Amino acid sequence: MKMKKLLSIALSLALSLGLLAGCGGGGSQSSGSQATSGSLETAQPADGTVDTLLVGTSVEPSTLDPHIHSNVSTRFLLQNIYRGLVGYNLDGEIQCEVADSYVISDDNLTYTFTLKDNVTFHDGTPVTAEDVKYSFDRIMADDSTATYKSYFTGAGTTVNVVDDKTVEFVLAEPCAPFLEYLSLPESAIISKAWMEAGNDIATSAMGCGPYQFVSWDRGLQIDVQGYDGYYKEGLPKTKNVSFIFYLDETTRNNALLTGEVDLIDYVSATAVTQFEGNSDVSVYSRQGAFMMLEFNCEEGSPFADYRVRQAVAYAIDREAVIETAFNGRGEALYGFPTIAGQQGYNGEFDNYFSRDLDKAKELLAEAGYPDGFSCNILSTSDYSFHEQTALVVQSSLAEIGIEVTADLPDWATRIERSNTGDYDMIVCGTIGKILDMDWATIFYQSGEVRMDASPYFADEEIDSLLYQGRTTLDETAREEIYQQFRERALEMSPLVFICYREQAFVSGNYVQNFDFLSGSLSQQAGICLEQVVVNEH
Amino acid sequence: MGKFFLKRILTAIVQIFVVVSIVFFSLQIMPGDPVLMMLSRDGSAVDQEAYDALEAELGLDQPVMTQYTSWLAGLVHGDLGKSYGENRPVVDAIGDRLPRTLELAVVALVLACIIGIPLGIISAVRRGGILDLLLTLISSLGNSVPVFVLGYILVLIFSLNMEMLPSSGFVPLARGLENHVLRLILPSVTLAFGVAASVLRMTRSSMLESLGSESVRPLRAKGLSKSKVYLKHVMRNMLIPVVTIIGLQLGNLIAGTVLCEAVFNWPGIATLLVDAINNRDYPLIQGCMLVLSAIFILTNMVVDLLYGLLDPRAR
Amino acid sequence: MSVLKQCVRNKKFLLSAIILIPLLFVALFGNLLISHDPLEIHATQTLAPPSQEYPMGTDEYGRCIACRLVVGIQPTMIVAFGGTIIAMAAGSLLGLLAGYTKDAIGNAIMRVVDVILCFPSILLAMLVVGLWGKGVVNLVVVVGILYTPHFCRIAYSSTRKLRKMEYVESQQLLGASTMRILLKTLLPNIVSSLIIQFSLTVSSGILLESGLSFLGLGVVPPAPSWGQMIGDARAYIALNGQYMFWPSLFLCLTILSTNLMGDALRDVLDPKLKKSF
Repeated sequence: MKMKKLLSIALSLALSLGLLAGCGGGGSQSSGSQATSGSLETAQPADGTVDTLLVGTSVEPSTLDPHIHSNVSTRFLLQNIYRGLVGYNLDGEIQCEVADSYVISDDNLTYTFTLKDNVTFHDGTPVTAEDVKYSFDRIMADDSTATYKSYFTGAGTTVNVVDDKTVEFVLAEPCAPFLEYLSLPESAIISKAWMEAGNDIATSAMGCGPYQFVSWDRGLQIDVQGYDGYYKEGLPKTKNVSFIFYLDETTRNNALLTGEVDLIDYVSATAVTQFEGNSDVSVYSRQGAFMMLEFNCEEGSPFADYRVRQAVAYAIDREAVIETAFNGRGEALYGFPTIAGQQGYNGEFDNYFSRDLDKAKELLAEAGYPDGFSCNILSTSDYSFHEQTALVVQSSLAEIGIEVTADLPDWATRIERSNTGDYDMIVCGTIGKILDMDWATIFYQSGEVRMDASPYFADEEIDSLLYQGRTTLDETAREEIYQQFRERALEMSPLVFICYREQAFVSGNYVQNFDFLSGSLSQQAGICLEQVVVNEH
Repeated sequence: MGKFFLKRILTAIVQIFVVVSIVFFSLQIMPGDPVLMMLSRDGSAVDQEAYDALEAELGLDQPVMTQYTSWLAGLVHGDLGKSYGENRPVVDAIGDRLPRTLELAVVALVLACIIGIPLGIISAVRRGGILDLLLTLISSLGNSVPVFVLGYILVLIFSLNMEMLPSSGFVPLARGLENHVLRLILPSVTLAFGVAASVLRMTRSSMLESLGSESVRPLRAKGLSKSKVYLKHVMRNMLIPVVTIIGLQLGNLIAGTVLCEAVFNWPGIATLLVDAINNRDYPLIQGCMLVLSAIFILTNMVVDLLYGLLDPRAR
Repeated sequence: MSVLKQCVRNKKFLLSAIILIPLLFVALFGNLLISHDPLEIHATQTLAPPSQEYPMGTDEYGRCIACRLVVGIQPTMIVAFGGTIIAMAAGSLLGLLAGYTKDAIGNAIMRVVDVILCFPSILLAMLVVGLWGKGVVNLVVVVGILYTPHFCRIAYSSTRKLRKMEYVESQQLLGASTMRILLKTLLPNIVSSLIIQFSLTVSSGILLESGLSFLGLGVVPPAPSWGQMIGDARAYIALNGQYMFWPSLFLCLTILSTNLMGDALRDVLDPKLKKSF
């Protein structure tokens, strides 16, 4: 009897399943590409290392176009596939990559590059001067969407092919940081033939870097594989790299802890503190980007007056920002975000400002606002450090009578409003794009409303100093110019700097040779991946 | 009869059209700029010329009505436009992601039935007993524990503490069945729990109903064995409403995967939609909303039609 | 037997009332109960274990978890109850009107309202939040819009049935105004169905609010909400289980008790259904 009951239940179960199969049906999926070479299961080489590095990355690229810098994670990935004529090494010096050598003419207007003989694209064809010209013409084309287009068009660059292995760049006027422009990962050399064969550079990739593109599984991962013909002997050391997309930070951190990935990027300050107590992982944390405020300096706004902006600079409790937004990790910025030694900087302005509420109130009174005023601050609730920074600024400014309303839309809205200048004050986390002091140009030069610069701010002296700095080539003279510029920039304070924050990666402790530099080069961590070794674990 | 079917199907088509139109025009007033999100995800300055070039390339400089009609014209040909962020046709992007979500939803649904139907039957057979009480309690709990709470409890137990299962992610079948299945377990169990509770309740109540119904009682009186009555008659009466509820759940389940996919980093269509909204990828948002609402509307339609077939009064 | 008596005799009702009443009390008077500012950041004592001062420990910003828990119920309740009240008012009014007026107009109203049902609810909510931004007020409106059709359908179908009843027709003959007939005669007939739907919607509202806040689309931080606390806490599940545990527990308890309340009300107010259980 009991048996029968059981049987009847089992039968009813089977029946219900049969009915279900009718309404489901989408259960299994067949993937066409069976032979994915960057497979997770690969034999381990005998020397105690593993031939695959699994990277958990925070962003899925929107485009693989190497001439567009859309975010740091995508750049990290693309740096393994593409190379430029020159690039930074791990000591922060510019060295030849695709170029074998270069000569700069006496008038500083012509840069002639000779290419290495053994550089080939991943399809085996040699890199020629024609490819170099094609790449830069593409960057400078009228319909180009390249991020650093204006760097090259601004210098009036023309590219000429001299012979198969020689190419020259002719500038309209001298440009001191020109080699740095060429060292940007976005000055990558692409193959003319490959492009003209109709390949889509946004969804596929073919360069002359250490790794060749294998596949992009949407929503999952991008696989790359070491290129045998890479021009640096013995590199890359690890055969395969998979970049697996973990958009959510918690999931990404857990994936590292459970060993699903070997390396993760974009680790927040709170998480870094946690990881530091864990001996199974290595934390790589470098002082990188900085937090700052931009002001809408449109006429009629209180912030059009430099004294009000200075008052803000005196009022902000930078230590509180570091404590709350960055869990105590970071360094307060009371002056200009310049690394000592950069274009003659000697630390003179490191303490230009201090937290001084009396001074701040005095400045406000001088500017005609003894009782303060009210305004808004634009930030975003999508990133907690942006939000916390805004909240600390809000409470700091309340102490000098400025009543601030925090406006915290989502990131996309925040980006759009920052580009059109739709705010009184905005929290930015940003970084100089190049090492040379000329990085400041985009932040300080007058001109149309844009991100990274205070809308409607214009100062002739600053504009002229920036122009001189860029076109003067004598280093001593440049040091002089930029010292003047930094002082003027702090006096005018169109940007108020708050603190440096960290750029952090975390890996399993079995990952070796991963390293990157601080400052603006913290955004170029991708160059070290060719060195990385993954030990057995 | 035919008229009812035709009307219901036409209604569904109109509904889908209305939904996509509403979505299209809402996106126009949504703050945020897709061009900026493509050129500068991390908020550094954008070259104005590059901006204009990309805006023209995407066709965003056209008037809204032109964009709308050309989108509709594409839709008729099965073309949903090209995703800004993915740089490929929306159809392809959805084609990649939808099967993963469907897989998760269907596996969860199957699990829910395997658990829910037998337990519901037991609960009904043992009506009023301790087992019944216990099951009723558990099913109330199943309706009350949000997916994200349950998900993290399971991650905590099975991946962080016991290290038995991976905490998240997705591995395509092509890369190994074992890896694929291992990563499917936690999310599908999480998703199944709530559905199992609903199925259990529905099974229990319709089982009780059909047990007490006039067509069954005489059979018992006639001396047919209990199991025969259960199997042949009770079960048949019971399964119709249960299957209907399951059909209805499928629509909800696919939308409900939003949270589950977020917890487990499952790259399905819901995650795709969330990313698309964050990036203001208009064609992709439209495409995802179209597909998800269409599934939702069509499952509802099928359920309505089924009801219409079974119960003429419902027409 | 009066409805109240039946309620008190119902075990489910009692159990859910025991949980819900203190929760509502906390939601109303929570601000008076807390000893710390739930927003105040103490950078030196982050993720602290429970202590005399912080009975449930502190979160990643050193804020008192217990205090945030107490205050965090407010947005949840405001969204769930506020949204449901809006939905009930709008829905039943529209439904009554649609059911009472001419077929063409009534049909038109119902079709428009039905459009909302074509969207899976959490997706529509996500879209609306994307349009209008986050925040409690927007969420209240979202829940209000989302659940209007449910009430509308109930009101519509019962009004349809009742419209032709003799006592309604007699009132029409007596010259009573439409409004009067709707509110005085028809509304009382659908009250019990509406109440059942109300309790169901409240629980859906709580789920929706916590889900959106969990995804970071709900309540704007730093103001706490349970869903958002759970979302924040997941980064620390391995480190400080308490942080995740408490908001999860209370969220589940709240939903459980509203669900039970719904069941109990259905048992009492809709005896036809009860028989089948």
